[in-house]
Amino acid sequence: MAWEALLLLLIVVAGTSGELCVTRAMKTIGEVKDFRPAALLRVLFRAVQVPWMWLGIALMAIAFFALLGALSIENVSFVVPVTALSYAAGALGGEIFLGERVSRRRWMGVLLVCVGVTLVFIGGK
Amino acid sequence: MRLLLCSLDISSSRSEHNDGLRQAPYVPLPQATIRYPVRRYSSVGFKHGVFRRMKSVSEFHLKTYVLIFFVVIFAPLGNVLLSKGMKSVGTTGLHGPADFLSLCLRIFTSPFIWLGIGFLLMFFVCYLLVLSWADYSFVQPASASSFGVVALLGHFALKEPISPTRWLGVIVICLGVLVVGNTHPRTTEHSR
Repeated sequence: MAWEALLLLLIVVAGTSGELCVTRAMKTIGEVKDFRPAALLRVLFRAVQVPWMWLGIALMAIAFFALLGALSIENVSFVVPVTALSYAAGALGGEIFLGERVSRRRWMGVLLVCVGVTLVFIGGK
Repeated sequence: MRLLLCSLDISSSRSEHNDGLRQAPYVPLPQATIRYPVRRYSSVGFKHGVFRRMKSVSEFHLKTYVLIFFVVIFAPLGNVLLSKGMKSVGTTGLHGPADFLSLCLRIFTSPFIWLGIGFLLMFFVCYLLVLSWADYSFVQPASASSFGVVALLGHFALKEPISPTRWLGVIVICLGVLVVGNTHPRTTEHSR
C-alpha cells in the first residue's frame, strides 16, 4: 500500500515538475516567432543546451517508469484517474514556479478538466 | 613608411569592401520588415499603433490555437499507433537473450511503431514551441481536449462502443477547456 502511494505520488509530482522544468527551459529561450524549418531546428538546438530541459526530461522519464510500475501492481482504471490530479498540480506549479497568474476563471476550467478526466477513466470501455 | 603603406592598404581594402556592399542588394533588412511588420509598435495614430497591435494580438492567439490543435491531434495519433504496433508485435514468452533480441528486432521493424514515434516527436516539438510563449497552466488543460479526439476517433474510425459516463467526461473536459481558453494565454511579462 505504501509502495503504491509512493508510486502514485511520483507519477503526479515527477511528471508535473518535469513538464514545469521543460516549460522553464523554453521560457528562457523566449517566444518563437519564426516558423521556417531551419529556424525551428536552431530553436531546438538551443533548447537542448538549457539544463532545465534535461532535468525536466529526466523527471518525465522517472514519472513514466513509475507509471509502468504502478500499472504492474494496480488496475489501469484506478491508476490513471489519479493522474488527473496532475492538472491541479500543474496549475499550482505554474503559479508558484513560473510566476503565472492563474485567475479564478482559469482555476474553474482546470477543475472542470480534472473532473472530466476522472469521468473518462471511470467510464471504462 | 611601411606603416603608412599598411594603413593605405587597409583603407583601400575597406573602400573596396564598401563598394562590394553597396553593389550587393540589401536583402536582410527589407525581408525583416516584411516578415515582422507587426512587431514595430508606434504609438502615433490609429493605423500604425493600435491597429498593428490588434493584429499582433490576433496573430499571437492564432499561432497558440494552431499549435495546441497540432498537440491535440498528434499526441493521441502517436499513442494509438504505438499501442497498435506493440499489440501486433506481441510479447509472448521472454526466455533468454535470444527472445529479447528478436522482440527488439520485431519492434524496430514495425512501421506502426516508427509512425507512432514520429507523431509523438512532432507532438513534443509542438508542445515545446507553444510553451515558449504560452502559460503552462493554459497549455496543459487545453491539451486535455485530446481525450475528446480519442473518443471521437474511437467512435467514428474504430467503431468502438463508448459508455455514457465517458461521453459525459469528454463534455466536461471540453467545457473546462472552453473556460480556460477564454483566459489570456500569457500572464507573465517577457524580458524580451
